Amino acid sequence: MKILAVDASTNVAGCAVLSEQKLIAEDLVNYKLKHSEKLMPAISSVMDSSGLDYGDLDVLAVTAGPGSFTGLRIGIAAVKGICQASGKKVIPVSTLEALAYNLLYTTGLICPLLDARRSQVYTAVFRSDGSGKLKRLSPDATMDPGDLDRLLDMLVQDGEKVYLLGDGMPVYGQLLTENKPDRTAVKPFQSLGHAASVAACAQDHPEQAVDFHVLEPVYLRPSYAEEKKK
Amino acid sequence: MKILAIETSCDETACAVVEDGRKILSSVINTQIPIHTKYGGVVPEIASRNHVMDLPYVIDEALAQADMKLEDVDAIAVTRGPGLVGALLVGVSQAKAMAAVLKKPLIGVHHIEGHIAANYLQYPELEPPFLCLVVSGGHSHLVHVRDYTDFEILGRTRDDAAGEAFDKVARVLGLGYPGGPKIDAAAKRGNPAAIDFPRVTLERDSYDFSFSGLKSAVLNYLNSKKQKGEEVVPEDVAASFQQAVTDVLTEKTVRCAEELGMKKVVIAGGVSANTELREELANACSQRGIEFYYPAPVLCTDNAAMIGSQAYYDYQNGERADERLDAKPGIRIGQDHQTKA
Ligand SMILES: [Zn+2]
Repeated sequence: MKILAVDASTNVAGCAVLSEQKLIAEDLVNYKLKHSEKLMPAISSVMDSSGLDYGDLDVLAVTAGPGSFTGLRIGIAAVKGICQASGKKVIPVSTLEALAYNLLYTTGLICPLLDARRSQVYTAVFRSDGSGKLKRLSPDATMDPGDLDRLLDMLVQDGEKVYLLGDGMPVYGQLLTENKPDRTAVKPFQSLGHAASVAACAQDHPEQAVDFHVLEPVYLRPSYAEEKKK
Repeated sequence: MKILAIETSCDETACAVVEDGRKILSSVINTQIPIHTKYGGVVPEIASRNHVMDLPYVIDEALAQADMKLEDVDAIAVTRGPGLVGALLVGVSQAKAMAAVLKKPLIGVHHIEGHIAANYLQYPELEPPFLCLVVSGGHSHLVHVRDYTDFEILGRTRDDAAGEAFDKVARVLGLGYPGGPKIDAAAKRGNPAAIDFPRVTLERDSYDFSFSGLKSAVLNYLNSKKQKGEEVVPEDVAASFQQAVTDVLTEKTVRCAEELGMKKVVIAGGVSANTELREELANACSQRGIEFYYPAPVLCTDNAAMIGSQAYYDYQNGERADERLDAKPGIRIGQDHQTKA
């Protein structure tokens, strides 16, 4: 399966081409958010490097959310444009599950968290048995960090390690790991969204491929105006 | 040359196919007005959320109406600004991706230049130079259109755009959103001479506008009526307000045209659909032997056909956008064009 994966859901803009299990080209920029300028040149560059034409792809993958509202739309609109012009389908991937794929062969709980502003995180919890398969323990959700702390205490088994990663860590890492020897903050370089992880995650869910028209960002939060109206 | 154009700068998701800058092969406008009405104005985040879902369907429809496939278009054009940044980014991102896959030229278009170009679609014989009054929700400009891609701003609003004033007054009168058409309709049943609202013309030699004083005068009028317990006739307020706006716009435009010796006056933008403004400008121009041009209402409000028209002239002028093309929410007219080929 030849797959182009795109991720613009956080401060990182990335894309990667995978052919079967082989990562052919990847681009990642984690510097001065300007996804609108950087994403499309990055996509062209990985396509060039891989020697593939868009027509050679079997499918696309994209982080559908949660994440920065604008970032998600930049990634998703670009993917829709590629699909509309090439007739390809797309596999939407949870930004959080893709992050958990960074640690696919660890053993323990994996907890990606993204800074959702307003003192909240977007998060989910997975269990990894080291076999390369993840078991989801909680749905992608918006949560107070204190609630996440309690959720992890509830889910963790005796002697089990918890790995925390994602751009929520610089903000809430201390709160979540202080006096908790079973919890580990993953090193920053492994804590970033990697488009190769997005592609690998998508390859494990080929049945979730959809027509690009219905590809929808997963915001996990209504717009501010809608919230106020309620 | 057939250009597929995309417009997502505000609350319309639009796509069109335009041939050689003059012929509309298709034009599809999906308006979000009903969605935003309950908020009393455009909510940027909601607009962006709708654009990203609606745009692919709108593109399909524009191609179907033009009886074309995406591969058949010669170039892709997209509004790059000004407008709501999040909304613009949807169109820009999708357009860049389509152009990359199709290996077609990409043209980033200035939204207001597009509004001006709407007149080329209406009048196949119209050519620059001319004087253009651009009046919309976000803009009030007097522009000397020297050539298709050569603009000089002679006057601009110093505070509110004309359209903002319409929206605000419509809101306080309880007429609803969007303000322009609501005021226009209410004014038809009112007396434009009922209330003498101020005509702010600024300095004698200036072609700039100011509408905030007029807006305040309307608010003050309504407050004082309320305090005195007197009844307000909304239709009279709407008609008198509209008359004041129209008088100022007409006086400035016509004086500017005469002083610069311009033989053609053109109007553009959402507010240019206002019937009173059209009539008054048409009269003032014909009295002075000036030709007057105005687009059909569907070409006045935001649409993609106008973007496809301007894109053609930008392209002829050598404009080519690359994959770094970014939304520019505050880009000024005639300035900061994308890289030339
Ligand atoms: Zn407009």
